[in-house]
Amino acid sequence: MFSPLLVLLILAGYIGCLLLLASWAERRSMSDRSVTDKPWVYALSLATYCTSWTFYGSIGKAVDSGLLFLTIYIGPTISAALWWYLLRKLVRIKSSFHITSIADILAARYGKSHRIAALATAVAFMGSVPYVALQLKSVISTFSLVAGGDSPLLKFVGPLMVALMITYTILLGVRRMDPTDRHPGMVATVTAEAIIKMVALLSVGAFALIALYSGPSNLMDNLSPERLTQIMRLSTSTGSPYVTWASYLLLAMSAILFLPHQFHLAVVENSDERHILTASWVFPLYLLLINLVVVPIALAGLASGLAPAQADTFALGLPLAHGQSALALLVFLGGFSAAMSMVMVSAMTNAVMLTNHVILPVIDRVPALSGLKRRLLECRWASVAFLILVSYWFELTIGDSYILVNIGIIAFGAVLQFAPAILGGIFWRRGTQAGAMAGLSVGALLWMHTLLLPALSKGGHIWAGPVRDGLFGLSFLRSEAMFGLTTLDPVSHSVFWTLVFNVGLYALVSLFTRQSPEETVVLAEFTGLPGVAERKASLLAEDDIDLAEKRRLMEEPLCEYLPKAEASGLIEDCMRTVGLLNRTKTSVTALAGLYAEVEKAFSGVVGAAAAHKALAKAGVFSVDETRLLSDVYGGMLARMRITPDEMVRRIDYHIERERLLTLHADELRETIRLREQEILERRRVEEALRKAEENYRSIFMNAPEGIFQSTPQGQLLSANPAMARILGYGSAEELLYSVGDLGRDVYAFPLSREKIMLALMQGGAVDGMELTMQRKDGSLIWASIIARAVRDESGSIVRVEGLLADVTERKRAVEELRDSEARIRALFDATSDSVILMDTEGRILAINERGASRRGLAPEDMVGHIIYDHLPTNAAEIRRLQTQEALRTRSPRTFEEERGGFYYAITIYPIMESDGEPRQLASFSRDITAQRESEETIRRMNESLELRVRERTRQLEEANQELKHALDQLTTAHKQLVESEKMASLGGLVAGVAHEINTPVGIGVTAASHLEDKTKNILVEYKAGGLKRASLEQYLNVCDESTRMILSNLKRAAELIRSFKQVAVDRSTEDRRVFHLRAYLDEILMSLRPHLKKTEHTVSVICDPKLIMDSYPGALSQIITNLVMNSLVHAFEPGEAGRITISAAQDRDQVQINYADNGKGIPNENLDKIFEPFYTTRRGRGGTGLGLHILYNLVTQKLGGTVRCESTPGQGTSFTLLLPQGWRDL
Amino acid sequence: MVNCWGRPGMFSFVFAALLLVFNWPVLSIPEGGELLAWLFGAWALAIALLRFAARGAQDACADPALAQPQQDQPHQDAGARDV
Repeated sequence: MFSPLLVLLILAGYIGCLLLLASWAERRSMSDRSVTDKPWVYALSLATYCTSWTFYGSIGKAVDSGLLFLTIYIGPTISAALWWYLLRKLVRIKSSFHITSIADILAARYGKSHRIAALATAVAFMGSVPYVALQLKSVISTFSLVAGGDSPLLKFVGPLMVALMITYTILLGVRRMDPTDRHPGMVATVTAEAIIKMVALLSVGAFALIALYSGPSNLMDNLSPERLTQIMRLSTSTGSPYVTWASYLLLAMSAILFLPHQFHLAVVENSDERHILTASWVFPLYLLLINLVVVPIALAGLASGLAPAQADTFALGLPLAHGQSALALLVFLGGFSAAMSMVMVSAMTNAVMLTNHVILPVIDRVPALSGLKRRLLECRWASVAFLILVSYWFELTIGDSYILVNIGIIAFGAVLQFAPAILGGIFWRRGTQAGAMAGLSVGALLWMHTLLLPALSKGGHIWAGPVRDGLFGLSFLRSEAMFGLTTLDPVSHSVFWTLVFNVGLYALVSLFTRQSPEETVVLAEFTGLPGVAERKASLLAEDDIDLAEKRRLMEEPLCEYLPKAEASGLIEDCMRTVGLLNRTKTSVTALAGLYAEVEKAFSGVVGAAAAHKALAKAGVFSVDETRLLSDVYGGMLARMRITPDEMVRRIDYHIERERLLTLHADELRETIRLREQEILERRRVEEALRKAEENYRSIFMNAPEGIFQSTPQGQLLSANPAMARILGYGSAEELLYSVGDLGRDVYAFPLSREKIMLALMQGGAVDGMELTMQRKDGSLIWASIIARAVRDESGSIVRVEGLLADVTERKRAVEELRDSEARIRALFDATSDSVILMDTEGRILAINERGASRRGLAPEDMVGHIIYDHLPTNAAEIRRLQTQEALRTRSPRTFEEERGGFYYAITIYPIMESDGEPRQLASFSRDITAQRESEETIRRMNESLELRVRERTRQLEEANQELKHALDQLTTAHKQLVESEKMASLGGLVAGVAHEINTPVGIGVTAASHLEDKTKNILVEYKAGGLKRASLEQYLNVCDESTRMILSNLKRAAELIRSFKQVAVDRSTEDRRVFHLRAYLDEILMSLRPHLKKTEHTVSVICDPKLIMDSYPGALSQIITNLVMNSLVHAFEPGEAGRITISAAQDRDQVQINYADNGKGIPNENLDKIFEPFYTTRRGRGGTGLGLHILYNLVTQKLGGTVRCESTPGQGTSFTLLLPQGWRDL
Repeated sequence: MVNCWGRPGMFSFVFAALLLVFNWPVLSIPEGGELLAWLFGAWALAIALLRFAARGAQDACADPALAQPQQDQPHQDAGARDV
């Protein structure tokens, strides 16, 4: 069992596939590659006859009445023998009159009467409703069987199916207005559904017969003899079996053609009457096959214990009872297909009839509804929905009361009523509209009374009075025993009385009524016999009728139903058909022909009756024109001096002749079309040949290899440009001209040609023979030849054809490769390492000498072996693991291996193929035993070295400690020396300054002493009273001069002391301050005056007085003092007059001080030692060797500057000091 | 060349034969399973007959001489009979 939703989805998918099939068929049809205009498709489309009644009702009927069900299918088989006469005639009438339905054919035959068409529509509708209801019932009930459970969806299955069928019918069958257009999509789907339902039913039959019971005999053994007998014979509840059999046969024989959907498929959808011949045996074959399994399914159902009352559903119940859900689903789809195809076609054709013959006449009569004339398509859609909804209502209210078997026969009984009027209409010339009306109406009423009414009353839906007591209480009018006939079963009874009254009234009323002119006109085409008419002779008509006006009159009624453009197009087509296009005037006879053509074409849209009525109202022919037409036809008769019958016979003869000529023309057209196809095919083949020749020529001319043909004697017949190029010729023509004999002119050795010819004679072909050839310039090349010998009938070689390729480079490359391989091989074998090439399994592909000899084997002995077999177990395992790891990681693996006391360093390289997968590995194995031993030795030596290093380190540390102590002492001594040097310098400075001060102080003392003496003298004179003016003046002069001398010398001493003090303070305190450089330099020089005074040297200072420094003046003083003292001590010889220049200038944020003397200079070898401590050239002569060292330290460390010394022996020495102008951190 | 199956009236003959064949067993009501076998056997035979008749009619249609038996002269039943 499936869920309802799943079944619905499967159904939706199935319908989707059918719609796609329909769409494809429509597209193919539009592109003139129709798939449905085929005889087998036509034959299988008639299988719509096998509805869900076949699926379910047949089996029920088989269980109930035995083999009676076969009449439903044997009947059409018998009637198929008549199809070539009957059906073909109907098809031709359909083509001539644009017949769209059964009602249409009756209307067209019987005077285009709306009444008979409406009556036929009503009968068809009443017969179709129960039949469509039967299909709906089967689909709904089988859906519930397949989709079990109590899903709420089950309540909506009915409305869903109804909506589905309405939509499906409209989409496939009612999309266009002109129903005479065929529906390839619809035909394709019904054909596909025919195949599906046959497959489904045959599957169930095979399941029942083979899977369940393993054959017919086993199946029959599982049933009681009585039950078996009941099914295998003909049994009826009442009446004679033969009569029942015959009645059913008759019903089925009429139903196959006169059921509305069958009529549509057999007549309207026919595209070629020759298809009828195929259908006449294919369709009965289909019926035979599909009925082969009905009895086995019925027997299997009973044998499996299913209830006989549910025999309708054996086809579904049998697989469901045995758990074959998929098969049950297939059967459901088959039953659904059977129902769907019938409902679709029936609804479509009933909608056409309803619209054309019921709705349109009502619209004509009710002006308020005239707007619906343009909505005929929508009316058809509404009619489709109406039929299906009424059928659904019928199924809901009445369908439950019956088993399926009954409803089908009731419908057959209804359509049987068409048979007399249609068959009489096409075979009997005396049939009239009144007769057809009488027969059809009474037959339909009797059908309702004898078949429909009893069926309805038995279900309790209507009053059973007429059935039980007779109509109007008249016992001889009882529904199932009319006129006292009680020996027949109800169906036979109904068939009998309906046919008696229908045929009887049709014949009687027709004999006593006249045919209308409209009936007479069409009689010939329907029956092929002339009608009775009287005409007057008349003159031939002239072309004096305004065609445009008549066209306008004919267009008016058409425009009530069609858009103007469509109406105009229809009339134009008709005018073209009768040859009146582009004419302005016409004759009345031609106008009559046009009128008839327009009516025929329009009847395809609205039906014959409506078309006739609409055009008749248009008043196309005036009274005079009508009379003229009559006169024309009468005149024709009079001139021809023949009776009207004879004229009609002649006309019929010429019509028939025209038809045959048309047929012949069609055949000729077909022959021409086939010839044209042949020509096209031939042109296509020629074009293909030409293209092939072009391709081969292109290959010949452009091939990179030489292609040639030659005679056995060696003469070239043809050669391509590549051949010429290979042999050094400019073109193929030059080659052919120049080479007379291949053996002599091309082959380097004539025997080569002999060799090739021998090979060709023996084997017929040469493949890749390499020979030396000579080019045009005499140079030799290697060429490879592929050639074959072409022989004649006697087997002699008549021609050699082949390919030539220059393989010189390849040969050379092969040689080089061989050499390269030899070199590599030599390297391979020369290495002291073991080299193995192996596959991923460890199989040795190649091994060098070293590797093989390690194992005591030769390389060729090891190739093909597994390397692990030549290793100890442990080593083999390790090797294997490492190999696998190398393969996995695709990177080299290096490891060590110990075997037999030897150590090996092994590296395994995976060799990647072009696809990145490693398929081979290279293994390099180096004997590292000696290396291991060396390592061990080194390790031991390292150990002892470490011990010694540790000991040595300890000793060094001790020595270092001692050295550090000594260094500290030296540093202290150095400091002390430097300090003492400074003190010595300072002492020198003090001594110098003291010496200097002594002079002015001495002079002052001397002047003061002189003054004291003079003062004493003057006092004496004063006290003596002999002071004279001149003495006083002399004393005052002496006072003045003395005081002046004292003051100046005291100032001088004070200046000296001040400057000394400053320098000394600076030297002693080492403070930083801002000072004027020029003034300070002067002060320094002042402090050095005592030393400078003793010499003849000149000291000049060049410096901007405004130049300021923020630095350590003490250090600067020390520096300048050391430089001057050095010059005085080392630069000049005693008594020499030298020159010392001190210049200072600002250089950005630095001050550059240059000190230069023109002394003897410093030798180059001493120049880089002068700043070292204790370096002196006057050791023992007053030089301590610390002066310049102290200067260097003061400049670089204290002042943060640089000092550089340059000297040229004999020319003096200069020191350049670069000091920061401002203080900065060092 | 058209064989006997292509002759006019062949389908009528087949029709008559089928009527007889499919009514004969019912008239005599065979016993047991014979009716089923008879009916299906007759059905297969009917299909074979129809096949041959159709083939004959097809060949007759292809033969111009037979397709237009009354091409040039009117016959009193001209148009009344299907060829």
